[in-house]
Amino acid sequence: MKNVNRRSMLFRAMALGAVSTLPGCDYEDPAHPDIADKFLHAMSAWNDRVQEALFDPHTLAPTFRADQITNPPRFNAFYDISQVPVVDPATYQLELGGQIQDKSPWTLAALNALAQTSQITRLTCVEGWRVIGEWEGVPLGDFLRRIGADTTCRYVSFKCADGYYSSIDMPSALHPQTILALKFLGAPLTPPFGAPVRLRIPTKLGFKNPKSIMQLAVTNIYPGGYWEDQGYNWFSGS
Amino acid sequence: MPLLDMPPGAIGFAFIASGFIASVFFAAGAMVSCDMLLLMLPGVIVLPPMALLLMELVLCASAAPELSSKAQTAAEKMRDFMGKSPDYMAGQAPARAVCPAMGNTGQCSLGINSMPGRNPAPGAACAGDETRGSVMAEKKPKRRVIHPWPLRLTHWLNALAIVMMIGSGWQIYDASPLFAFTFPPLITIGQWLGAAIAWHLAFMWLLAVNGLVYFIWSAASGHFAKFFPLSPRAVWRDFTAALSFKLPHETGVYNAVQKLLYLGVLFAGVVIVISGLAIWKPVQLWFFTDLCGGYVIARYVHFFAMTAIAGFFVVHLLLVAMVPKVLPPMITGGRIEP
Ligand code: HEM
Repeated sequence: MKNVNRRSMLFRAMALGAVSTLPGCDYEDPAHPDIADKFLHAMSAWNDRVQEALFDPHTLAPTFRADQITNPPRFNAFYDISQVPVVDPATYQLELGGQIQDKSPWTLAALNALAQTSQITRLTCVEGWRVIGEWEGVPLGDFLRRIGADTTCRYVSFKCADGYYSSIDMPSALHPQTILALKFLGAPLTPPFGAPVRLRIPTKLGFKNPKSIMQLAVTNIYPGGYWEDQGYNWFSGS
Repeated sequence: MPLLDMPPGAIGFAFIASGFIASVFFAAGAMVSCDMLLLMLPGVIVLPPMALLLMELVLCASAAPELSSKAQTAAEKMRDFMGKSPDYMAGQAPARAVCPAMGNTGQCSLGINSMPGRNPAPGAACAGDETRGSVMAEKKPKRRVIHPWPLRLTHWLNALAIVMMIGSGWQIYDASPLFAFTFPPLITIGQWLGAAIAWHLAFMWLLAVNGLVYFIWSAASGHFAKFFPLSPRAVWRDFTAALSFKLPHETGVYNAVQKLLYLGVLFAGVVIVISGLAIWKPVQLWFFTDLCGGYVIARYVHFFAMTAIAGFFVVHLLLVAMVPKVLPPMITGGRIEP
């Protein structure tokens, strides 16, 4: 009676298909994942793993000539430019947390005193547009080693003055082009572009470059991110 | 048996209409709530073939011993429509063996005739069996399927992947349009950019892996031979013939226009995967990005490959609608007489 079974299976599958379309579902509500959300999350986690495997610490993002820089630069945030938080550079302190030996906070002057590097790279937005800019700052890898961070940890996380937060994987954090940027287009960062300190990581999409960083932590507990928690792929490497 | 009196065209019409109704139904559902498309799109794609299978089932089951002569000729037409060789029953099969879903072994391809209570006589798989069985015994010809199962499987998985990829791709396009137009949200998949990207990066695996399986299987089985020989002259000849509706359909053989279209869409498929990788990983997979002429050009390449595939999709469906008898074999496999 193999054929009978096969046919009843067919009908059951059809009935199941009809019923399972009934419950509402929206990927916009991360607190209430449904079947589709779970499927998408599982695939996103799989894509994270693929990108981690694909990541080569020695492959550099393309660099550009000074005359290719996008001018004027493009402001982008999850709010309007009039709402940009202004951090006082004189009293600014970068707080450190997690698996770090020396957690004493860093002033802007102390960060400026460290060896700097500059890059002309492309920032690619998840939306598809891109800009070319020049950033200058402290290589994050140098900084992590200087403060005695446990670089065997999985994540480096960032919390920002505007409530934004994000996190990156340790191999990407140690990539030579990943910097804690202090300058943009040859001058200290301005508030719309992430003053006083932002992350510049040309091997990842734009939203993985948090601005106005107030806290940096090294951890093995997945920290997520503002957009990541809403459904953007976490690794989002280029 | 009103269904048996239906002319073949009506079946084709019913197929297309059910597909249309299914699409409207699911599109309406998609508007009410948001990302139920994971469950809906298979529905849109699966429903029309299901409707067809169901039809075949009903026809098969209702093929009773006493058929009017009118129904009999209708059934013969149907058999022709279903892609079976019209003369396979030349050996005067009894009227009750007209199940259009039967191959010439007398087995209904859906297995209905082996169901209890359906058998006209216990022990006999199908009524026409004995008569044709004796004819068969002399020749024992081997029958081939028109479309082997790996082809059918990859074809329908690909159709699903293409719909999901193009639908979500349009939503991603809208976030940063390349041209002076955007796609209406009604026909895109994913209610916002994050969801669209999630769909896109999830179904890209189906598209790529399924495509790879198809290419490997085709190369290994010699399936690619079906696309050759191919000459511009033959394409022109078949194209003009098709325009004047004079192009005959040979079961299991692609005409030159089909060959060209299939080779074209396979090429577009390769291009869309490579350009997709180029914009997904311009740093790690820089060689693909370089191959496409850089990140900026790769986006255009990706877009035009989509346009080519979408265009193929439309033409492809029109051609299938014009010659609907090619469709059932793409689902059931069909049979070629030796
Ligand atoms: C749901 C919509 C679709 C239907 C109803 C459909 C139907 C068919 C049918 C009936 C054939 C066999 C033609 C023949 O034997 O003469 C066929 C072949 C084919 N279709 Fe589709 N198709 C659909 C979607 C697609 C899509 C989206 C693609 C690719 C973008 C595609 C690519 C192909 C190719 C490449 C072949 C030739 C297969 C081979 O021999 O390798 N189809 N299709």
